[in-house]
Amino acid sequence: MQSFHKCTKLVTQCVSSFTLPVVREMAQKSVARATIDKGHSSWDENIRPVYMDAQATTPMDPRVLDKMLPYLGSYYGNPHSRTHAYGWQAEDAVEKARKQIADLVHADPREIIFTSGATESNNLAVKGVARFYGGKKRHVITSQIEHKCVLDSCRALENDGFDITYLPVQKNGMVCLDELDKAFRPDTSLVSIMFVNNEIGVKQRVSEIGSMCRERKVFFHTDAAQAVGKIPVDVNEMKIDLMSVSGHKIYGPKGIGCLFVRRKPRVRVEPIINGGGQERGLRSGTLPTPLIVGLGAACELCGEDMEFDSKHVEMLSKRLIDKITASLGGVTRNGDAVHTYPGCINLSFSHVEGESLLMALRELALSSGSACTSASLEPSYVLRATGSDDVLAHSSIRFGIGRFTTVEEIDYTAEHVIDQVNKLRDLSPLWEMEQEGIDLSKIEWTQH
Amino acid sequence: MARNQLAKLYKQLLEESAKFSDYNFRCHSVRRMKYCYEKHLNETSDEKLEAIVTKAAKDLQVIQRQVVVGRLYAVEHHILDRDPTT
Repeated sequence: MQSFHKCTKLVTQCVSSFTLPVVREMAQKSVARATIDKGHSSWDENIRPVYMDAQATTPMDPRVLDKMLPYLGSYYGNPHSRTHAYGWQAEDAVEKARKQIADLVHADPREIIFTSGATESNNLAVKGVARFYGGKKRHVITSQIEHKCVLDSCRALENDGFDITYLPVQKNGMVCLDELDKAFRPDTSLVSIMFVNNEIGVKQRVSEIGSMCRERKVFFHTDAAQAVGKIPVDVNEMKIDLMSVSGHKIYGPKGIGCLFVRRKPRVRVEPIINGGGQERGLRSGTLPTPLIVGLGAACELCGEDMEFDSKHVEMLSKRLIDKITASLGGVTRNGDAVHTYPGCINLSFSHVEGESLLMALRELALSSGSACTSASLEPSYVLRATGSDDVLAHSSIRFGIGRFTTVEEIDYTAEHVIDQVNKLRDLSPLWEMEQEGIDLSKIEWTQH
Repeated sequence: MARNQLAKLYKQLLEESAKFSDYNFRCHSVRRMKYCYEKHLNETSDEKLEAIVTKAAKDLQVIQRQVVVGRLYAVEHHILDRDPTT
């Protein structure tokens, strides 16, 4: 603890040496945040905040848990045991779940490969396809706003000598189809574009991208972790060849996901995990029956309740945006307002540092972007890719709405956000200057 | 006959849903029950009504079990939960 205080003191001294007021203000807030984090402030530990981070994870639906419980207890058989009833029961449960997942996305159950989650599915799809066809085809296309696991898999391929094209996105976060058209090469083996972005909620034109890839006989992979179960997905209509799904984003358990791998036309994948040859040799390892049962149940419920959930999420999304924008100026929505999943709202509040706002809103479980990068104070690479300047990217907050969010929670969120943004702006000299009509972009900051 | 059974089950489903100790699960379950009941209000086919009753009876069992599961471990109260049932 003593060393932490020493460190804080040191950082505070460094911060005060910043000459540019904007940078100093930001850094001071960051230090304040670190101090509050360590001190746990005065937060009442008997109270749970309002959960508004549905893109990071979702609570497991009690109906899903109900299906899983027998497989965490009595039905403990190994689904690969062929010689006794314990194994057969577990195998039946796994195959039922495989069908439930396949039905949701209009696939064949044999095209579903269980993995540990969307990260593994993305790794398997990107590295697996590229490496299998790597003898003749050495080029992969992806976009700059993919999840880190796709981007890092592409980096690994680059180290192996593959060429990767990272497509830029437009200001609204959409991949430009003309740019994609130009990026195809005779040796392109795979295009990997995510369905719904996890930070800004932008929904790509997946059907069009699928058609373009099929015409050129290039495989199309989409990371649909934020899409499946929330919006209708049809792998045949959309000409998707590989698709990643995650359990915990759709009110299912963590640690389970799957990869859809098309059979006709057949997609070949080099496995990453070798061993007992389970999942047709594509993913060895004993299948976790309870988690798979949970994923299957979650998919079935998503299919049954899709209309009910969508209407609810849409209504809440509109209510939150309307309330905030009616009371606050200088609010920008990041990402396309039409091609979007309404449950993911990313807003930038000008002259408010996002991290400060998060710390002021202890009663709300919010995030400024992806959970994977939330430890970093760097602005989001997704927002940077959309051309958003660093200051605006620093002031962004993501509101994640889901099946279990209530109207009362939305009203509470809007009220607190409005209140805290106003308080932080009252402290901001830049906001005051802008209100006085001073054009901040024309100010020449001097060092002193 | 099936219509009466459904009305009775609906009442039980609402009562049982209100027992969820988790604020979000409770609100969701009550809202979903109301939605489902209203959706099936104009259903006239006896065959379909019987299928709905069978499903509602299964749903009731699930909720009853999960209410018990939800109470097994004490957790913090939701900030907006003015009427925690535990």
